[in-house]
Amino acid sequence: MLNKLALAGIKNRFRDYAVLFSGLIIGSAIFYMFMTIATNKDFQAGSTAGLSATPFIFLFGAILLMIITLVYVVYANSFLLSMRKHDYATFMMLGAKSSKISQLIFTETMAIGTVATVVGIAFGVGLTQVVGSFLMKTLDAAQNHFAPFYLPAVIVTLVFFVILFFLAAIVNASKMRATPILTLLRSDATPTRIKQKPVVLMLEAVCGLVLLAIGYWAMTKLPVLGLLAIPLALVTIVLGSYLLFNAVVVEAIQLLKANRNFAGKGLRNFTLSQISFRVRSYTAILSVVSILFALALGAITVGMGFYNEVPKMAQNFSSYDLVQHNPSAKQRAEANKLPGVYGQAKYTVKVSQKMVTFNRGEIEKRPLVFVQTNYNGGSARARHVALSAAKFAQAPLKYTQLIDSLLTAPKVQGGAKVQVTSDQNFAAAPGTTMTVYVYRLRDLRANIRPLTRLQNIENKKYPGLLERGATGSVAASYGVFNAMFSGFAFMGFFLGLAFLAMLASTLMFKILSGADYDRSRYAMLRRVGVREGLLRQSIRTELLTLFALPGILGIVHVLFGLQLFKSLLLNPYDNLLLPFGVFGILYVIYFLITVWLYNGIVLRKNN
Amino acid sequence: MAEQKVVQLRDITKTYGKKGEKQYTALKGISFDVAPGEFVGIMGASGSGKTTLLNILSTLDKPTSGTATINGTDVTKLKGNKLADFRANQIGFIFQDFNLLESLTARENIALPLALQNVSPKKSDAAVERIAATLGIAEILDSYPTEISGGQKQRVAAARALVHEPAILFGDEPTGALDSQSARELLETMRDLNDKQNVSILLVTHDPFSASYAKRILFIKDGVIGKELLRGDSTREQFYGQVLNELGTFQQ
Repeated sequence: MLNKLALAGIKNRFRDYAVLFSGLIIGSAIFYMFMTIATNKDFQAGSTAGLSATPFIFLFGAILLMIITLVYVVYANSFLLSMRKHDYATFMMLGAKSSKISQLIFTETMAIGTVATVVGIAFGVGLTQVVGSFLMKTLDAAQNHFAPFYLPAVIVTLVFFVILFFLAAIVNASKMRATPILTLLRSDATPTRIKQKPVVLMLEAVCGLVLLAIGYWAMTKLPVLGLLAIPLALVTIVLGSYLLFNAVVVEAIQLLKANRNFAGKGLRNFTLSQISFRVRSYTAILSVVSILFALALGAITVGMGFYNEVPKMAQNFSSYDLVQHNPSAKQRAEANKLPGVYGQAKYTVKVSQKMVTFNRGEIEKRPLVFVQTNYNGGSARARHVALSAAKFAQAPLKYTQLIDSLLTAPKVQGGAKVQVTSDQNFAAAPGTTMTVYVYRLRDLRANIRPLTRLQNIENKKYPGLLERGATGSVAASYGVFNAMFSGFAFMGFFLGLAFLAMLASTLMFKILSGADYDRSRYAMLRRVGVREGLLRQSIRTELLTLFALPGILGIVHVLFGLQLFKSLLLNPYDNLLLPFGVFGILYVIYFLITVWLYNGIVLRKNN
Repeated sequence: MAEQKVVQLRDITKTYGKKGEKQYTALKGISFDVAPGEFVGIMGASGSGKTTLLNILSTLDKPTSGTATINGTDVTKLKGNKLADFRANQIGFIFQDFNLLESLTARENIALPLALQNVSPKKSDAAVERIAATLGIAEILDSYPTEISGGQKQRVAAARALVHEPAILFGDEPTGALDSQSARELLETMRDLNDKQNVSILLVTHDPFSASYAKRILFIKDGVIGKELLRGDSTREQFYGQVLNELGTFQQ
């Protein structure tokens, strides 16, 4: 009989259960998604070029995700309990034994958890497949050892979640048994006045700032502190965020409330009170979310950084993006048709075993271009610079790389001399004459396919070019860098998306698990005569604050955190707008979904 | 009509359930008026339809047929924002379970209706202080609802219901959750408000003691008004006796 009643309870609140269920599915799917990479040693070794820090980073990521998942399941669980409390208390009032109720709750929690995990893993396989192949395609990053269905990941996910739900089920069952029926029947989250001394608040704010400063400093000192920098930064930033939220947000709201002209309008006072009431119970989750936000945004930004830098790094290797030797008219026409091609020039070069001769007239008319590298502290910045004929003629051997890149074999490196002569002397110079056409490209990535095809024609004609490997041509160096960095980029995006989904779901759950309590508040406001639109606006403002606070702090974390990648990326702060924009849009979508779900629970008219 | 009535009900019926399904008629044609400054009690047992009636009066529910006019406006025709605004401006409520917002202090709770009308903080403060003094809750204005007693909560609720000077105050079993001392004090306050400040009150209750504070009592049974009792010149104690007497015969 009780089983039947319990099932009926689920049917009545189908919508809420759908929220709970989909949330748990997303949680386990994302956990699985992360684990497909974290447990796949072959993939890690293959895509990070055997970087020694990789297993360490993944271990950290896994521990972090486990902690977050634990928090997540606790919230999901309290959401479940808040839904069922009333029903179960009613059963107990009707005379059901508390042991029977405990058993029911235990079964329900386990059943929901296990089913959600299994569905979540299946969903995770699909999600991994979709995200994985989408990223491989867009990033041009073929991953050898990447498998959407990876058995160790399935096992880890299943075991981890079943253990979590087992613990949650025990907690739920004992909680229900320990709480008096009356409390269960009318438990409301009642805000109690928390008096905080201004001195304590000030101290908290200062401590928070100091801890954040230590964390940010640690990230800039990665070369000095080594891998210790990462745990140090994590701990100090988590604590710092927590203290800062506690001190600053509560105080800021008090200030806003004290401004009667602002707070006295419409529902503002109510909204502010709601926020301050929530922020108090949310400080822990908000600081965790701000860290997660930073990790997700950071991963995507760095991933995009790697992705963006591949063409730049490849181009910094050579003066020209394409060099054709004695090409046919058709090949030249094709090269000139490449979109965004510029800086075309034609040089006649005489090459013998001992001597490479340039025609002064030609290089005066169209100066050569060389890659100038400026060392600035630890980092090097390369740029393409035009070279005057006079400067070149003075000391041509300074430009070995440039000259050899024009030739079919590295003659100068092999000891040949270089001379720059006038028209008359050029005719008398030794060796065979070669006509060299050079091209530069504005957008290497867009042109990489046709460029590679043209380069292959060259390579076929002069097999020596192929033997020079990455230095043989831009197409070749692009291939090498892309193979190396697209693994990073892939991982960055993949993990970034996983973290984002996780953090937003965590926040969403925390908010939704309190929604049941808020329902009566909004019902009261409606009775007093508050317009529907005003109610919705109040809800939007409240939730927006809860989403925006960790978001803002998270962005600050990322801006400092990018320091970590200074040694790996030419400029980690390039093109921030795109990853931030993409991330922002996804975050806003999550916010809107939460508002929609929350409205659905809180503003339901009947019941 | 010499004087506009505050409340005017004409042939109100309310049927629950859709056509073709099992239907239940809670109100079967109810008509009555409340004049400005009147204190009217509505009595009835559980299931008599008094809650339905109050929900219609307070615009939380709509009648199946008939008109309900409050302060000259037919509330059955109002919708959406107009309805919400009407509720906010013209009606004051006191509920059995107080309906205070726990995240706000008593002062903030009372000021809420004024904030909804965007009254300036200065005027709002003055109005809150004035009504709080009238109701004897000036001391606890900065407490949260969880920190005060049931009687005080109900006074805060009454202050919130009256602070914007509504056309009428509706009470839905306002003494239902109070001890007898607090209940008596609240009712005396309501009588004073009615006597001295001319506040129109409509009190729905099943408690004869509460009802005896009214000047006129309507008895509802099975969806119709069965009897009307006027206090006239008798004292409250005498009237209480009449109510008890009436209930004794009315319920049979």
